[in-house]
Amino acid sequence: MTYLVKGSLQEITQASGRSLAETFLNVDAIVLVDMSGSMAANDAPGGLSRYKMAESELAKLQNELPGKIAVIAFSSFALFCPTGKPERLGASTDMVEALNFVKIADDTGIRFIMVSDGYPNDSEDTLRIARTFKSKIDTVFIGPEGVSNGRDFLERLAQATGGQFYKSKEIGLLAEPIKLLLGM
Amino acid sequence: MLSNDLMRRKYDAGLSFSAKSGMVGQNVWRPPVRCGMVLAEGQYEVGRFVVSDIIAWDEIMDSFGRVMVTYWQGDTFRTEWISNDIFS
Repeated sequence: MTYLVKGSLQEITQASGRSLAETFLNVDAIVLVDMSGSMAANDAPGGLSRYKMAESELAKLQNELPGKIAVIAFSSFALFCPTGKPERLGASTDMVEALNFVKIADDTGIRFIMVSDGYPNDSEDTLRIARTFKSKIDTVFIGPEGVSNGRDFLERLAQATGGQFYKSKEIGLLAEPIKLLLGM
Repeated sequence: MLSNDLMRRKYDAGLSFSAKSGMVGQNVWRPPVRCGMVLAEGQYEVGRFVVSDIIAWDEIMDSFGRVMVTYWQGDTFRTEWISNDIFS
């Protein structure tokens, strides 16, 4: 049985009897969440893994904003997760793949929020693809300081598209920065 | 609903994501709200044409340059002609 996060697109779809595409019309933000191998580190508050914390924080967001958040998990590839729970993908951090995956939703009024704990496979190519977007791309860094240049890169990515950058207060805590981005 | 360009592109994005998620088959399937002239690849199976790939999707326009939009209403569908200005 598939686990459905309360307020996820699939839960709303099933409850309303509409199609997923129709439910998608109410989406305000696409959250691209890094689910690469580094997210397995158990350094989030309470000794939780970054994976676990990201799942829990995304669930919290969807509970509070039913039908407004579309979840895309990415690592070496990207995956749409209408159940609201991002898949633990492992592997690398291919932000180019993630941006190409969501490009179809560019310039539709939907906000893009890229959440990551690290540095992408190809930073220059990621910036090049990001600059082709008409919509702004906001970024949230949820990793530890000083381990990689991930924070600096996400700041550059947001700047490249006129988006905003936030750093989570603690590792993996993505809900609060996203709420700020959504003006909550 | 889909006579609004922004909503239409948003709907298309949702359609594309749902096709990639494989969720179409898990739920009660509903036909896309879009209409048009569709060029598709596929094969005939038990009297039906099963589409494997959509190659092109063009609008249907009347002599006034209006675009056809259609949607289901109960057991039947409704067709409307919308001024093309809203798509430009």
